Amino acid sequence: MNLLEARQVAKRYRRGGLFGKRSEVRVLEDVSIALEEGKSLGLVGRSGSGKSTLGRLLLGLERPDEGQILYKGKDIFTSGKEHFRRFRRDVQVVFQNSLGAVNPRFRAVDIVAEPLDNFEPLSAAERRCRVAALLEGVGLSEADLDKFPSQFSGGELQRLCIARALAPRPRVIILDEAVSNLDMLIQVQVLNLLRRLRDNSGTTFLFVSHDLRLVADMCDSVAILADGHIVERTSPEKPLRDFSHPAFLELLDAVLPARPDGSGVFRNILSQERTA
Amino acid sequence: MLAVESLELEILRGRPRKVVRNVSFSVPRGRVTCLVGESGCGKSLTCLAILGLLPEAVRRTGGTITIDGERVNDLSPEHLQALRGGKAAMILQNPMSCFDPICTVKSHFLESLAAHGGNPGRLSPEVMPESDLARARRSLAEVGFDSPDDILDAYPFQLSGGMLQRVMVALALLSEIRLLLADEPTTDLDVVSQARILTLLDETRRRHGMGVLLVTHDIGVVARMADFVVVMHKGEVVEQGEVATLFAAPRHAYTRALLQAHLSLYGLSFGDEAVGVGTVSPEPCLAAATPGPVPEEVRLR
Amino acid sequence: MTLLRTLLSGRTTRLAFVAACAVLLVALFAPLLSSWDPDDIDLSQKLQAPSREHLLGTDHLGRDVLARLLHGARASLGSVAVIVAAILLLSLSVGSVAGYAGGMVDAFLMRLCDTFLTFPTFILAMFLIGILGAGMTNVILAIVCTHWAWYARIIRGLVLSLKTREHVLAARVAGTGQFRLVMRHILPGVLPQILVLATLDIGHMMLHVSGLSFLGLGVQPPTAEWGVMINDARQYIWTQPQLLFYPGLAIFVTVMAFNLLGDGLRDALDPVGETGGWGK
Repeated sequence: MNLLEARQVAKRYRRGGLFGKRSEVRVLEDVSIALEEGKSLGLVGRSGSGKSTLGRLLLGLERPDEGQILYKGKDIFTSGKEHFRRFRRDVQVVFQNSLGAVNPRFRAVDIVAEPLDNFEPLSAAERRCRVAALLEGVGLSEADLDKFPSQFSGGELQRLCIARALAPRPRVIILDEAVSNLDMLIQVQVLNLLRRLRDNSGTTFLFVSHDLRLVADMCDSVAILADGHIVERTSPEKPLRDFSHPAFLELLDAVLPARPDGSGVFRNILSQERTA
Repeated sequence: MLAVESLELEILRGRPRKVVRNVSFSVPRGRVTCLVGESGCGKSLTCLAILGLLPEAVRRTGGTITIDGERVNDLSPEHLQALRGGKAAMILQNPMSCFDPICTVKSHFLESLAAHGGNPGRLSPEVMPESDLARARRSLAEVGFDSPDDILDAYPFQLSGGMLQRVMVALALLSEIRLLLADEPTTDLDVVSQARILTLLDETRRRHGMGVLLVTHDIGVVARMADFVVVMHKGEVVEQGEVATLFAAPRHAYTRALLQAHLSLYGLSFGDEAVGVGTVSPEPCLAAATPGPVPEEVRLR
Repeated sequence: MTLLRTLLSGRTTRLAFVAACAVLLVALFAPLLSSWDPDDIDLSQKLQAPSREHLLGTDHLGRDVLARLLHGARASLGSVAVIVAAILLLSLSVGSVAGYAGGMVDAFLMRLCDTFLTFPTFILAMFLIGILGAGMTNVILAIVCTHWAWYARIIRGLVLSLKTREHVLAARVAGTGQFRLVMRHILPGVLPQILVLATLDIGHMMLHVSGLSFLGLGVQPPTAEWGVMINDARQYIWTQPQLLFYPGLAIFVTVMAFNLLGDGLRDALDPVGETGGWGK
C-alpha cells in the first residue's frame, strides 16, 4: 500500500516582484513518487535537483503548484483538518543541519517532547519518562534531558533530532541529508541506528541524499532526480546496478573510492553480484 | 615545501589549554598531504596557524613552520601578507563566506592582483588594466570556466558553491604559489561538485608542481587525493605515513576505527571481503564497524 | 543570568546600568525621597539659594527644586514607560502577523505602516493636541502613533527571516500550531533585538516628551516634569541659571544612561562576538 505519495507534482518559484521582470524557475516538473509501507526509498540527486523541495512538499510544508500529495490515498490539503492532523503525526522529518533544526532556547526534553505535546499530551512525569526512553533508544542518556543544544556535539544533536522524529511513533520518517554533515564515525553510528530502526519497527523511510553509497546500502528502492524530473527509478526488472541514465552515471562516477589503489571504485562494487 | 615541527597551539579564553600538541608533518613539493581527523581535533587550527591566520583567542606557543625553506612563524606582518596569496594560498570550506557579497568577482580579482604585483593604481573594477584582466581570464579558464567574462561580472550570490570554489582556486593561481592549503574545500558541496573540485586540485597540482595540504574528515577524499596522510585526534598526530601503507596496515586503533567506518559505507571491511552492498542483515556491517576492543580515548560519547 | 554578567563586564555599561537603575528607583520612590510637596507654592520662599531645608533651592514659585526634580522623573519616565509598552505591543502584533502571514495581509499592513511613518512627531502632536487638547495622554498618543510603524517594519523583517529557519519547519512538522509557533519559536528570536532598539530609543522618546512639555503641549502646570521645569526657568536664565541646569542635567544623565545601556545590551546579545566561528 502506498503510504505517502506525490502524484504529478510541479513546483515553481517566481522571481521578480510587482515592478521587476518576472521569471519562473521550475524546481519540480511532473514528479511522481510513492512510499510503500515498511519499505525504504532513496531519492538521489545533485544539489539543485529539487530533492529538498520534494521533501518539503511530501512533508506538507509547502503546497505544490500542480499535482497532489496523498497520504493513505487522500490528498492532504483537501481532505479536512482531521486527516491533515493524522498526516502530520505520522510523517516526521530529520533535517541535515541539526543545529539549525532545534530551538536554541529549548532544553533537550522540550525539543524531543514537542510532537508529544501536540499529539499526545502527557503528564509532566510521563512526558519526562517517555523522552528519557527515547533518548536511550538513540544512544543518549537521561542526564542529557535538561541540557541545551549548545551543550551537545553535532552527532548527539542529530540523534536528538532522530529521537524527536520518533516521539509520536510515526509511520514515515523523511531524512533530508540527515547524515551528510556528520563525522565519519558518528555517521556510521547513526546509520546503524537507522538500520536497526528500519528492521525492528517497520517504519517507512525516505532517504534524500546525494550519496549513492548510503542509498544503495539502506534502501529497497531508489529514484534519481535531475533538473526537477525523476529520470530513473528501481523496478523488479531494473535494480540499482542496472541504471543507465547520464545523471545516475554522473553521480556514480563521482563517488569517492574506498581505497587509494583503485580497488575500491564504487561502480565496481555496485555491479558485483550480491554475495550470500 | 611545507614543514611543520612540534607545533603547539593554545586557547586563551578561560583556562588556557593546549588545543594542538606536538604536531609535526611535512608536505613535499608537488605532492598532496591530507590532514584527517574529526571535528574539533585541531586540524583546521593547524592549517590557519601555517599562514598566521589564527583567531584572536588562539595563540601559537611552540614549534616552527617552514614554507619553501623559509621560516614563517616569526615573520613581520608585511612579510606574512606577501606570503599569503604570493607563495601560499588557502581555500576554505564555505566559499560564500570568503567573498564580499556586494563586490563582483572582478573586484575580488582586482584586489588580489593589487596585493600581489598587479597594477594597484586604479581600484575601480570597471577600469581593470588589460594585463590584469588577461591574467584573471587565464586563471578562470584554467579552472574550467568556458566564459570567464561572465564569471567576472557576476556577484558571489549568483554562483553555486562549486563555482565559487573554482573561483577561489583561480584566485589562488594568480601568483606562482608553491603551497596550497585547502581546509575542507568540498565538505559543503554535493558529490559531483566534490569530484570535480578534487580533480581540479589534482590537475592544478600536477601542472604547477605546488604542494597541497588538504584538511578533511572524509576518508574518501584521502583515498582519492592523498600521497601522505596525517591522522589527528584530540590535538595530536596519532599516525602518519604513505597512504597505501595506512590503508593496508593502520597501526593506531583510531586510524583503524576511521578506516573501518569508511569501508563499511561501501559494504567492505578489512581483509577485502566484500560484504555486499545492500545486504539485508545489519549484523555484518555492525560487526565490521567495531573490530576488537577500542581504547578508551577513542570510544565515542 | 549570564546576560546580566556580560552586560556588567564593561565599565561604561556598568556605570550606565547603575545610573539607569538609580533614575528608575527615583521615579518609583520619589514621594519617599523628598519631604516637600512638589506643587507646594510658597511665594515667600521664592528663588532661594540651596540651603539645608531646600537642598537645591526653590524655584520662582517657592517650590522645592529637588522635590520637583524627583517627581519630574516620575512624569518623564512614567510616560516613556507607557509609550514603550504601547509601541511594543502594537508593533509586535502587527509586525509578527504581517511577517508570518505574508501575502495580502502583509502588503496591507505594510501600507498601513507606511502611512504612519509619514507623520513627523511634533506636527502630529500639535495636530492631535489641537483637536483633543493638551495633556500627557495626547502626547503619549502622538509619540506612539509616529513610532510604532518603524518597529513593526523591523519586527516583520525579523519574523520573515526566522519563519524559514529549520527549527520552525521542524516545529511545524511536529504539529505545532501557528500561534505557538510564533510565540515559542519566532518571537523569542525577535525580542532581544527589539528590546535593544527600545532601550536605545528611550532617550529619544524622553526628549520628545520633554520637548513637547517644554512647548506647553504636554504636561500642564503645576505638575512637575523636566521639560516643564526648563520652560519655567527660561525667564530666569540670566539670574538663576541653576534652575535650568538641574532639569537639563537630569535629562542628559537619563538619556545617556539608557543609550549606553542599549549599546551594552546590543553588544552583549551579539552572538558572533568572541569566537568568530573558528572551530566546530
